Amino acid sequence: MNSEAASSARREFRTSLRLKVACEFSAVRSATLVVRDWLAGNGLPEADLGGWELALVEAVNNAVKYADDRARLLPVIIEISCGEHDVEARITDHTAGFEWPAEVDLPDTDSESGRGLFLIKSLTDSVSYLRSSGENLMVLSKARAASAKEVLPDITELQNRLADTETALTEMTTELASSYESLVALFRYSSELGAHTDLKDFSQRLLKDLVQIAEADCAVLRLISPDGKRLDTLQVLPSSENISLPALALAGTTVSVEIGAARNREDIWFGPEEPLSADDPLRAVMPVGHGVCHAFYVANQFVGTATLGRLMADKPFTAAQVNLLHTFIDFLAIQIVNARLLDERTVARVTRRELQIAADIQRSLLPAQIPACPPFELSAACQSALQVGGDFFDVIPAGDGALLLVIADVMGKGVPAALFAAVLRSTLRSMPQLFDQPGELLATANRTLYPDLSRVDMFVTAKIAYLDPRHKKIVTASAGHCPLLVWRPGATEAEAVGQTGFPLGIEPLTRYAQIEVPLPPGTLAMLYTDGLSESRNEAGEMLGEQKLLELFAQTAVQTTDPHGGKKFLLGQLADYCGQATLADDQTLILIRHNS
Amino acid sequence: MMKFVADSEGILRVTGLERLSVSNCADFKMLLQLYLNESIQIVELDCTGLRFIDSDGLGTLITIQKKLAARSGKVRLQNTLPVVRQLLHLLRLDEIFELTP
Repeated sequence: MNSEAASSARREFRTSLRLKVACEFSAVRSATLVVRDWLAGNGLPEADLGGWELALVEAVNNAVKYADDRARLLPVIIEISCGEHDVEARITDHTAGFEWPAEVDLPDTDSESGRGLFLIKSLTDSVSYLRSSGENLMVLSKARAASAKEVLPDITELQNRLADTETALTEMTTELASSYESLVALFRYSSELGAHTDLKDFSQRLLKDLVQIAEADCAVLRLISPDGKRLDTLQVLPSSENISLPALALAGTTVSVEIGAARNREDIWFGPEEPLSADDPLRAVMPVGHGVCHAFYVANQFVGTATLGRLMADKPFTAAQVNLLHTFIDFLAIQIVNARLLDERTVARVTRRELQIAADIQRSLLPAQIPACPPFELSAACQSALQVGGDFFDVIPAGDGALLLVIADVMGKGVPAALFAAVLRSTLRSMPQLFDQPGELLATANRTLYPDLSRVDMFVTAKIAYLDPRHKKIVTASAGHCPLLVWRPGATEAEAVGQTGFPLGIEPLTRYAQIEVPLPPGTLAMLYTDGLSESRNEAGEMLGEQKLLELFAQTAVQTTDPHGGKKFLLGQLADYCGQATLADDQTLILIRHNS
Repeated sequence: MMKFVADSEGILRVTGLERLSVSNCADFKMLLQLYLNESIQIVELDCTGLRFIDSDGLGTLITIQKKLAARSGKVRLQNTLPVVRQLLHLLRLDEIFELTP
């Protein structure tokens, strides 16, 4: 406000005051307070003072609100004169002016504007508005209450008020400077949003700026732990080796404003009148003074708490400073969420890559083609579930036209399961001398693999079969694996053959029994993994061994070669599962004795 | 000092407001909106210290009232001083705000 206050005698019985007010809203308050005090000094009662203050605020606000660029450079002039019987105010503005309406009506109650003129008219006895080129004059007058008596203005009081106004202006300037600083800081941070920024470093810089701009002395930043149970400490300012804030359990009994803010989703103020409790861990950082704790959220998800402290007992935080806290911490919250999304994306990428590697290993283990073994004809399949499992099969020439058939299921999924499948395959292939003794082959493989499997608590179920075309038989041994299914011509039902021994990797010195099964002409036999019998339909019901046996018998009756049989059986299983997701790998080897 | 406290029953309590005029109503509205999440139904303004309000300040309260009314909420003015109460009556705004007591 560029004030030119003067108290002088306009007429013998009137005193007057003239103020030049800068054409901006922030100057209106100080000016009208000066007028109010001046009128009080002239003996106006409190009820009249309020009315004059409001009428003048509305009039001068209008003068500012409708000023164009040129008019903003010129002051609004308030002249007020006080006589024995009345008060008159003249407000000179430099707007384009307006026509004072013949009737000043009250707008609808839900209208958000349009009450200014109504108030001016209601609060005074007469209003006139005179338009001229470049400036306009509004004249307001109102009779004084009869009991009012003229009191000479108190110059000392007026000077005090002016001093107060100066103080208010200084505070506003300081606030403007801090707003500028915070804007600059926020622009700097915004350039880092979405980038690979170290969260600890970013939060430390942001908190330091916030402490400085909000004129705080200390700050604590905590983030919710991934399991949502604790508030972990991310930053303490000023940092000191002597101060460490332990994590806070949200469900714990510790009395803490941070937990209170987190639970109630609200800001909590504390200060000399509402001090921190004696047990509050924040006392280590902010033992005295004022503070405010802000719980912050992103998309309704609780992210953490930020607390600002000021050690001076006589200076609580202002609303503008709390606003700063919110604005800065909102930026930080976005950066935190971005960092988490980046982490999740990285993990998902690694997992996808791992699954790809596992799938590649599993595919490489499967035989490129199945050797012929007349009079037997073979067909095999290995269908992977969404997550790569540990199924594999192998068909190895075993001399004299015979074949060694291997089908196995390594417990677990992903790369570890695929690697153990590869090791099992190599181990078995390294012992051709035992191919015609499947029981001994399994026992030896078990002794070889046991140390590695038991160390990582893994095991493998496997079935090995020596297919002997000369004697038209199959010799099998099983390590905890599914039985051999056999259907013979003329039979109405299929048969599940085989004993189950311990899976590989459970006991180091296990022995495995061998079973010989003749395969006369027309016989269909199948080795499979439990992914077939444990297929589930959309209702979650499991197929089961018996139903699989029935499907296998249908396959034997309705098809003549193992390729057609494989297609038929897998088609039946797919029908059973419907839209249900394949939960486990499905692997099978079909052997048909063509007569 | 202005203070905003939201409780679990959807009430946002505002205390410490001394003046609501053209010079601070934009700040007030911005600050209030920080706390005015979807769960807030009632903004309860403690007017014990509110000594001055102009037409822009009233416009701000009407904006908030309309926003809350859209979700069946309202602005509640508590402990209004006689000067503020007379003003609300003059402008017939005591019909749209809840005044207690």
